[in-house]
Amino acid sequence: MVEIQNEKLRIAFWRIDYAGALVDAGINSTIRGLITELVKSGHKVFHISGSRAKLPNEVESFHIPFSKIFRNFPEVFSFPYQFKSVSLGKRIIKNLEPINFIYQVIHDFNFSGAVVRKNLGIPLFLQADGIQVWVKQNWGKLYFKSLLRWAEEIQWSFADKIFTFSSQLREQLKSYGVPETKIVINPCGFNPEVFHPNIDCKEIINQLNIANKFVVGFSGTFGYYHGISFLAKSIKMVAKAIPNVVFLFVGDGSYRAQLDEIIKQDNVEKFTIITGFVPFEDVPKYLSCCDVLVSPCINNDDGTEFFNSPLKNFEYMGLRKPIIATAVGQQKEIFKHRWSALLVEERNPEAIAEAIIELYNNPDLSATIAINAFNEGISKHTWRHRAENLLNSYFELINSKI
Amino acid sequence: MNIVMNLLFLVNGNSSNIFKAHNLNPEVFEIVKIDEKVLAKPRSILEYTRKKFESIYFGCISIDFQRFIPFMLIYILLSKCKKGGVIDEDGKKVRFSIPKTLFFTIPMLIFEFIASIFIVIFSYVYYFVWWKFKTKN
Repeated sequence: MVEIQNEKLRIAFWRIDYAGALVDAGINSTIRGLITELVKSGHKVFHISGSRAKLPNEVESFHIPFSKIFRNFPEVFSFPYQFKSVSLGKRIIKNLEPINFIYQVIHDFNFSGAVVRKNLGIPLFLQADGIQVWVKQNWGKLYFKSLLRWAEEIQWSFADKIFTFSSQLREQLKSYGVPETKIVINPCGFNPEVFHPNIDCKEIINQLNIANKFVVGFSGTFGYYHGISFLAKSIKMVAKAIPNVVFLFVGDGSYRAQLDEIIKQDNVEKFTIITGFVPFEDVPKYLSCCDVLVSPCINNDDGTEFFNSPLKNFEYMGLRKPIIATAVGQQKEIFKHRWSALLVEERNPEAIAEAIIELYNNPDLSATIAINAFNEGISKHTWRHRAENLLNSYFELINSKI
Repeated sequence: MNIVMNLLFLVNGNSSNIFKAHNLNPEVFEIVKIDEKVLAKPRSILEYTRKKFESIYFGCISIDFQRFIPFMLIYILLSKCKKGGVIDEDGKKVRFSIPKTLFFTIPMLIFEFIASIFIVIFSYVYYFVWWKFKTKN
């Protein structure tokens, strides 16, 4: 076992989603976090993708471009990519052999990983960030339901392991028929060399003109479940109690318009800064300027529990900042109320405002929860821990076959 | 002096990088941040374009990776100014022209639509066969 575990592996990370030109945020950061740790440990990583990527230099990259013709009708562009990724992906992976395992993030209508698993016999590890049918039904528009369901079920059927971010997502996968034995929980993490407490952020403070301000921060892609509208609604209340407060939103996304609308309606423009997308390497500098960091995520509208694993929570931990998080899903599992964060009721701007004001008035409590969260983060939630979890699953799989 | 404004629909990316890459003066631009999904709502887009602009641009990070460019060009065609294009942070540009949009972009979009019907039908058969007969490993 020990001998096997010292083996340096050759791993193919294969992305089939359309990230376009975006190289930061969301899945990009997750994949980069895992790959960076694997490369650091001396494993050889290959990256196959149809989009741009920002990865360590040691990673050898292969590009399977999306069609230039079929890219204008929703969903349809995924079908030619299924066929293209099977034919090119198989060829690339065959040329790279020996490959120990393929790691693929499940994406709409694509089961290329399963086809290659069947043809080449290389173990397939999937990352499932949600049930695609559920995601489309609840957060988007669902077209070609049968095709979407079939593709996903084919992937599940051929996968040797399915990595998912949270216990809530594991339950959802089980309810859709995924065998429990295949599921491994592997949440997001952070890189302590990038997110640490000693970041010099003077330049950003001057640039944003926030010296002597009490800065409340948020970072993310402004998605539905991030709950930023509730944080935005708390600005008015906080500003009454803390006149020198500034809310710093680091990011951008589909709910930006809603955020702008609330800020305008509540007339709190002078208390708010929205940076837009900033390069990943600059995010720590922005967040280091903050006195409090907030993760206002919400449960789903259909009554199911919040099932994501917000990257921001772990990055906040690494920065040793006091954290306010809503008591939903994984957030209430990783944080302990008044020990490593202030947990507040979801969808409740008053609760968020009260927590911010409490931390402003109680620097001792702020310092205590920040230190506890930092220690917890360093000891349990770095990308190194996640990469080890991934490798352990591989070695378990190999040992079970010996 | 009355400055004639230009309009930039910022689909994604950073407006300053886009202006810099194309040597454009940000001061003569009105910027409207839109989500890609808004491109599927003609009313919202055309609402903005009713105002008289000298030119209308759609800005993005990279044209090579940008979807829905033909729709952007059609919106410019339907606007009052009929001048502009799609520009990105790398300095690349898809220039709008009425003949090109009428005789190339729109026919290509119709071709894509018809071909898509065949792809969807073929996919139904292919996916079903895999799902029904090949998944019992």
